[in-house]
Amino acid sequence: MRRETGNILLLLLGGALLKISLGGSYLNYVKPSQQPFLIAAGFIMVGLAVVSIVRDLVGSARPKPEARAVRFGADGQALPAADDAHDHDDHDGHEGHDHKTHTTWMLLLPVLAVFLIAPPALGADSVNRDEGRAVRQPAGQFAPLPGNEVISIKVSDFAARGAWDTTGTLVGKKVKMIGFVANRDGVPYLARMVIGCCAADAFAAKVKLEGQDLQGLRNDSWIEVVGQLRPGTATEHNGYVSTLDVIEVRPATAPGDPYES
Amino acid sequence: MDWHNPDLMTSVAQKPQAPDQPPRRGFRITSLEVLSILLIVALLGREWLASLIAPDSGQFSATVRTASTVFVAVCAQALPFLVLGVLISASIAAFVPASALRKVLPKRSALAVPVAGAAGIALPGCECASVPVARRLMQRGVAPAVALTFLLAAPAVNPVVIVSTAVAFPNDPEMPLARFLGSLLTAVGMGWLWARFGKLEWIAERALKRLPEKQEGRRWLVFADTARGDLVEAGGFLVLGALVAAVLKVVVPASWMSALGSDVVLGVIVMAVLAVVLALCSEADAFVAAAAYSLPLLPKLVFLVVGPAVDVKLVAMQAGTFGRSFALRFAPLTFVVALLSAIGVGLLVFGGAG
Repeated sequence: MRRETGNILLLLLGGALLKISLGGSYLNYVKPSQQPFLIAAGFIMVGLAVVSIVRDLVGSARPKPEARAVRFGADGQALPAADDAHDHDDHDGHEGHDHKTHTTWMLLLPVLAVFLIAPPALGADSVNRDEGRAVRQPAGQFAPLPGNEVISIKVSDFAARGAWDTTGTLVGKKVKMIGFVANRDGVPYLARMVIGCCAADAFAAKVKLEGQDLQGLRNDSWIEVVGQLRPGTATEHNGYVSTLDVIEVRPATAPGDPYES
Repeated sequence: MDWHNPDLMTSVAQKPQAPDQPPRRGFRITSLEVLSILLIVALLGREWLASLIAPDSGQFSATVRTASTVFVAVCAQALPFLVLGVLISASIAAFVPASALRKVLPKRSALAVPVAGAAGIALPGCECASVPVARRLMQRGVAPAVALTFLLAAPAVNPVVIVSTAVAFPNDPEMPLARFLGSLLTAVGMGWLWARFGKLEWIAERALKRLPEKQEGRRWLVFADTARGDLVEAGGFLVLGALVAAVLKVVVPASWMSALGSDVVLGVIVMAVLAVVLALCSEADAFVAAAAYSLPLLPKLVFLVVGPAVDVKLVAMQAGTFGRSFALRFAPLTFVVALLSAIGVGLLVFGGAG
């Protein structure tokens, strides 16, 4: 591959990182704390590409044709601008002479994915793939929940308490949760994906929904549900998934960060 | 045609001189033209691409959608680390003379290997960062066994990884210790094995080519050019690895984990294979391992020790950096050594399967 092509790919890739990190869609892929690193990486890529492009332009704009010839001819003795590239495989004038440079084309894939497809956050499909992993048992006791009103709670927190809480902090409480719908075998679940670093390590926190008005909930539609834990429903047999007796369900807007952590 | 057009006359008059000039690349189909055509085709096919992952169009679309999200996620997660790695690597190339490294490291490889393992504690990154750094160390005259020890140790024993492991296993305080020991043993063991049995010719020539000691004054240009070259090259392999990981993520059923139950032997084998195919970031894999609720600790430890040492993304990058003939020997051997280290340390620390 020519050096110029590599520069353009690097420029595009840096641009793709800047697009997702500054435009906010990075939240579909990584956790929020990654944003500064993505921005820095994007700027560094763009910067390195621009430096290289400018140096190539300055180098090729040199007036003397014999200087140009020297640049391609003698190794290391040539123009200062040219010889640094010699321990890489993409130095000028030798396109395709090295077998491994083809892999550089792979850099185009994330660029196309980001600019053309913009993959959405993980949804119901991932929830239904994610069998065999349960919500984590936290250290220590669960903190007591406030008063008698409706409590807003994360799906993963609800799932953990439903599965592991022996002190009954959820018993008799009305809770409100936001999540998306994942149907399995005709039964609706309320789910959120939980990520540690990026979407590759995501696992599903889910709650089985039971009650009236639950027909026609479509996969990946965001809803807000109010309901009560049915105690003792999380067992090893069902992968520690609790059942929520639904009192009310209504459509909701997707949150800015689709994942819980 | 207007024969009096002066521009046209000039260009015709110049034509016979062409053989004396350096080859004019503009007239050939080069990678630049290919890139332009690819971009145009991709833009034209945009709607078709988008329809591939459209919602409500069946299981295939849902699978492609999940895989594409995971692919972009692995790239977005790993690229900043790769950038960090190439910046460190380029700094070594531009600012650290070989003589300085010779002073720091013991002369005998057998002694330098544990030093390199301990040095891994200082690079808080994932495996993508350590590959370019390890290559640069070799080019700076560091023995391959020593550089490879660093390559294996850095992603697995740094404080960020150990702390995140402690957070993921709040009820098993011995897990971070076991992971640290298992990974360090893997790295140092591989270093010693390579020092004893490794052959220089397995490593691609390009990875060993000594860097010339550059003259003063142009170091920042060396830095920028080295970083750019490493990034373009290693980035391609990183993306390849991310693609493989994303495909495997949707092809390998996660139900493997639930089917394991509490069978330790089966658990160890499957978790070791999963560590390779899932290619998780070493700062997050502990959370994935912790969520496999039916398994004892030993298979989870195997997952955590094998993952940062051998995974599809890392093997792709190693093959690209050090050559295929290196990767074909190094990766399987590392897998075995990591597996044995994890089992040994696990039995010792947990006093059993855990």
